[in-house]
Amino acid sequence: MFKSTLNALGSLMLTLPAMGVLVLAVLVSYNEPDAHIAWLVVPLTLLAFNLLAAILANPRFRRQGGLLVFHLGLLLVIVLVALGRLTFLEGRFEIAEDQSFDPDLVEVERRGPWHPWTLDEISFVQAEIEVDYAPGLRRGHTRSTVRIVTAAGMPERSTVGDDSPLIAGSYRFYTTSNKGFAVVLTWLGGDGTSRTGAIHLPSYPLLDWKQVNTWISPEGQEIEVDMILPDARPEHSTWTLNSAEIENVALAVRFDNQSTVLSTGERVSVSGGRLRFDDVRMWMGYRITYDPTLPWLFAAALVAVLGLGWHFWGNLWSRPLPVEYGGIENVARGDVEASSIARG
Amino acid sequence: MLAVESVWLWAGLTGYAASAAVAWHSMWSRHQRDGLILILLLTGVALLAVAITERWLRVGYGPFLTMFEILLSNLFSLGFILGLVFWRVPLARPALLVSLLVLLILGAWILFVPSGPSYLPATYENNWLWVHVAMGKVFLGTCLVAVGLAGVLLLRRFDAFSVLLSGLPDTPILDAVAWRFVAVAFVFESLMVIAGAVWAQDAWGRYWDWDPLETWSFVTWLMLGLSLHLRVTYTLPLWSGWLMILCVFSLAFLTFFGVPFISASPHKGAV
Repeated sequence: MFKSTLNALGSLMLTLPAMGVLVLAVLVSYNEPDAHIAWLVVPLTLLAFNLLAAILANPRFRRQGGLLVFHLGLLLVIVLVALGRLTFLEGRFEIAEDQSFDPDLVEVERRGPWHPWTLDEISFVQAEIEVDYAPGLRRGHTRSTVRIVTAAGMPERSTVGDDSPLIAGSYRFYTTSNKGFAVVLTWLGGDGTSRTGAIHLPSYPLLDWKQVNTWISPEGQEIEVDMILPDARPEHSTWTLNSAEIENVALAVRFDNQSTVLSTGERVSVSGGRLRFDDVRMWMGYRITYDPTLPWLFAAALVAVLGLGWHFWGNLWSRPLPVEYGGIENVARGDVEASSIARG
Repeated sequence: MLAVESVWLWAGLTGYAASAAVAWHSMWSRHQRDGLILILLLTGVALLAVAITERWLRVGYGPFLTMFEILLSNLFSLGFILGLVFWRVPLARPALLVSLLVLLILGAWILFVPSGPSYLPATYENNWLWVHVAMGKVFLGTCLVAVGLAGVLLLRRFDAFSVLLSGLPDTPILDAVAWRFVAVAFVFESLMVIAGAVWAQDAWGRYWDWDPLETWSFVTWLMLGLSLHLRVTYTLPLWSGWLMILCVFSLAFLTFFGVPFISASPHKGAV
């Protein structure tokens, strides 16, 4: 009974409809992006059980080493993808130059139910940011330098880009097109307290015409800061966006229908204290992902394909064509004369 | 004004057209001219290589982005693979009769496509892109050989071609050779998908996101696997297998030349 069930479950006759259903599921989920997991899990699970049963029930399958490796590799890929989905995290955050990474900054977009939150163990300080632009404001390479401390306790600098992440644990930090300027202000309260912070202005140069943001002071007063850039960015030449872009910048500070223009180091009196314009820096928007299965997934997929190649080579290419096919010894060493395009 | 590479492109396409003409003529006249067919084909490949180099030097990046560039690079790589197979796997030579016609369709298409340059996003300057593209080209090339053989076999079923193509190796031999190339195509498509996933992880921070190109390449991979399983499991009429090969190639063709240019997926270079 058990053996017949196993045979039925492991039959190739089941593989084919399951693969057909998977094709349909992919096509359906293509039009329903939010339903991917639900649509794919059923045929993938069915295929996984079909494969397991085939391996257990079919000795011929087990004897074909390459085929077995390929299918076990596929099975492992499915398991690892599932594990990755259970533990993954996707998020984003912004950080200004000279600011330390704070896990509280991370806005989590999606995470798996088994994600182990270990961002608290990661520390780095954002250093210089540079972004290359080609004529026509086309963004090129991003070089975002971060200062880290290695496991051996040595300080080190690392350059992060759109396609060269900072890898810490199983977290990967990628730069994004979202970046801009941050105005550093110090609040000098009437009671003697002071507090320094950065206000991130909208993404630059995408929103260069709107470098404005608002801030609520400790006294509850809404203060608008508007950065006035001295020069227009060059649109028709190659240039690099960095902190040097923002020398000699002025800051318009508006509140209660008043407007004051400040240079760096200048102050303005506001309700309950004064506001000092300290500096302008750059901020970078990072994308953060977590998936500990990545190296294993890559290895499993590669082993699977190697198994497939082994199987096809051993069972297809290196075997002679059957005698009833004309007795040709071997495709790769075929008789040139007999297989010419024009065999007259 | 024509770009410099256009001259080389025209010359290369002429080489392909001449190779196809000689192949069909030798079929019709029953005179073996395999050497000439190969020389004309490889001349076309060499001329297209010059066209790609000219353009590469002019625009400063490889043929990865625009439809013109994708068609140009595939005209080169598919011709190169056809030439290599023609030389090294004599039993697959009849594939050229149909495969070259497919190349000429691509050749006619490229003449109507704008040839202006684009801009290479930073995410394309990644070594995995090279691996991804190379594996993809071998996949499509071996698939084209299989489709050439399947096409010849299907043509031979029609009275109009049965006599003309009767000098070719027997149907079971060509059928077996075609499926061997399908198997090779499956290996290289798998490698293409893996390399693409590694590149996507580096470029966009995720290895798979069901963007249109990823979805359709996966569907093509599944259909290839399904075809191979069908071939092993059932004793289907041979012609149905040839139709499956054509179907898989059509999917691959759409994935390569259609999907990237009708979607706004990251593969198109959006950053």
